[in-house]
Amino acid sequence: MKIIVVDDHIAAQETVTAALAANPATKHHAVTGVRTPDELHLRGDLGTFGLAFVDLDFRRQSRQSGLFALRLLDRARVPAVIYAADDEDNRVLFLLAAFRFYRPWALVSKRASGAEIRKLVATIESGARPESPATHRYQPSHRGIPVLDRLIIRAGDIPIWRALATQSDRNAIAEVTNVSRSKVDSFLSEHFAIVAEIEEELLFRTPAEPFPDTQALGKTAHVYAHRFAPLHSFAVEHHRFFQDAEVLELIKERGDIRLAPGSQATPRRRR
Amino acid sequence: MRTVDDPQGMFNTALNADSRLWLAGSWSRGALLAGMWGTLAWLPAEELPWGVVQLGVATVGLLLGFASIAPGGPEMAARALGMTGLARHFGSFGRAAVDVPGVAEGLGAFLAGSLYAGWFALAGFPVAVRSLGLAMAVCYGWQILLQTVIHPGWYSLDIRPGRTLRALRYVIPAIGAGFLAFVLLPWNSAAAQVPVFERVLLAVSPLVFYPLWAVYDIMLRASATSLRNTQNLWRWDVWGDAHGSVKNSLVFLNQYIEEPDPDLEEIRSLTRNALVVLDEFKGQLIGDRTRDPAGGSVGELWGSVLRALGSPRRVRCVLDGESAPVRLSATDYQVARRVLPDLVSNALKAGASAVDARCSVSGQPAQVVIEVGDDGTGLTADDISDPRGSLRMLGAWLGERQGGIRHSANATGGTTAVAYWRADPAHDREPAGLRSPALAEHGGSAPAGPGSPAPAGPGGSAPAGPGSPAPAGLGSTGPGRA
Repeated sequence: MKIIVVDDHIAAQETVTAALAANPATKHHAVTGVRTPDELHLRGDLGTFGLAFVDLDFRRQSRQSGLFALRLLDRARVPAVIYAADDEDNRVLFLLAAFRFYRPWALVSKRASGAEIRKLVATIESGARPESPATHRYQPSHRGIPVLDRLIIRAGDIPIWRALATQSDRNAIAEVTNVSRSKVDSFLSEHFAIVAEIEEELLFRTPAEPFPDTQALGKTAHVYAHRFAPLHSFAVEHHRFFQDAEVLELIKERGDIRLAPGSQATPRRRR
Repeated sequence: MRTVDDPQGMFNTALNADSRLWLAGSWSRGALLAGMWGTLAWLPAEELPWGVVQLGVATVGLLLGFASIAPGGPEMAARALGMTGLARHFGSFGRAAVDVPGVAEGLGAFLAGSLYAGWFALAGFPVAVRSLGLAMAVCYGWQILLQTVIHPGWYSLDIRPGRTLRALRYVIPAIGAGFLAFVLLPWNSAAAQVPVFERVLLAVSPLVFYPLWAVYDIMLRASATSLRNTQNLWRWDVWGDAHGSVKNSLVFLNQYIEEPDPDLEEIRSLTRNALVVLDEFKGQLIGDRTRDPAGGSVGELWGSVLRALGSPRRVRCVLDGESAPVRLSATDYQVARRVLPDLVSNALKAGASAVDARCSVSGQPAQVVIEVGDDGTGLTADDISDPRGSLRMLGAWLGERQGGIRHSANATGGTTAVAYWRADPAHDREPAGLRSPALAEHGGSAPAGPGSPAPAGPGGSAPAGPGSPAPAGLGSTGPGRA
């Protein structure tokens, strides 16, 4: 089987190569690699690969993220596994998006041993889906609206998320995103709960203390102050995700989500 | 000004404007003063000396103001006035204080205004000239008040103004308005010639400083907020870069060590690689390294390798001048980052006092060649034949890239090692501007391999070629890939 590793470090490719070469049972696999999703895009032989290991963040090497690589691989029908650390909190949205829009076969840590890599490749070669407990955290549940869909309900949310990272004043956010202040307020109230949920359930953080006194501030001011700070910090931490052009593209393709109370998520497809 | 966005008091933003605001104010006051000097042309000869004296005070004050900003200016001005001790009272930038130029200009503004209105106004001005002169004098006073109330020194976090000074700041506009009202009272028929409307308007005008002050504070707070936001984003960005480069290198090192029976030479090599990555990260952080998403130059890599190995000063290490600008693709750069530290490290271990290196990318298909020569003790037969020796391991590693490594004894002593590998295909897809000079020069023709005559290094001690066939011809001798 031909395997391609999409990772900005050649060490990733070498780790996979060394792992497979170390055992006669997996020695026959041919491993190659590209440093960026852009390089992957330039390859004309994508369809010949039986498996791809894909990193998610390419920092200085590329403007594209691993989500673009997953799109290319999905188009070429190449099974992909995510080969990335999920120990960094600012990767969590990339992982949620990867599992929301595609069906990666596994989430493999860069710390995975040679034996684990060999087992994974052998399982995929046999056509079976490998057991990958780590993926369960990021896979959308079968019931309810996926976490990512609640975080980005419509394409218009992305400019507000971007502005939330660079501005810390709702007037400024309204100005740069060309929406009304009340729209910013409703964005904050709409997204407060899902951010708290991600922080608590995926990042294992203690939720912020609820404000004990609502009388000291005016009600609107209180609600604003209460919701703004956590969402601003969240937007700063995940700035790269919200800046990613591929995320915007995926959300546009998905369409807006209807959040009618009690209803299931129903994407309104635009194409 | 301490704000919630700057609890540690790190952003001394206002002080950056200190000297520029001062100079701009001084020049605009200079223009107004010149205008007031011009009005003296309409004064009868007998009143002219009074006019000169009254404007003279403001003029001296303004010159002292200019002197206070010039290096050595206060001392020179104090000597010219015959009072050397005065230099200490010229104030200093970066803090709020009552100083000699300020007091002289304040008094000068009062006397200048009193030329046209007030209880000792000169009677000889025509009405129009008097009104114009008065307006200029009030603008002059305005400028002084502006510089006093919105002085960056009030916001200094290092030298905070005392409580009395801060209290004084609140009443300065009111005092200014009181002064003006006093001057503008119709003390005599000459002063009464100025329309009442103009006098009232000018008298209350300093009160505008209160809202101006508020606006200034809001903008300063906003700039601190903006800085804080930028700093927060920057911190996450830096951490992202640190993670993507340094941490990942260590993760792969750690992953290798955790494997059963890891090889010590490979651990050494991965550790050197991580040290080079760390140095590159420092270069990106402090900005002396090009942000090159498509790889990097050999010159930059060479600098990082030497710093990572701690050798640039103890041993004379020279990279060939033509090699420094050679740019490598992202993949080839990373291969070179493993190869170069290993070869230089071997040379240093052999006790070399001089190490010369060169790198080229040439041939069709393109091949990267790195050549490192040294004047050390040379290799023993054991070094070469040890299957777990670094050279053998490096050779096997390069074999994965259709390359290898060769070494030979130099005629003058020491060793020359030549590492080569098939350039990453991405290299061919790079824009022409990013291609190596060697490739551009040779076009598609056969390159000069390490076996061909080598150009003399900068130190004139270019290592002799290994004397074996060019690696271009050995491209298929490695294990290769399927």
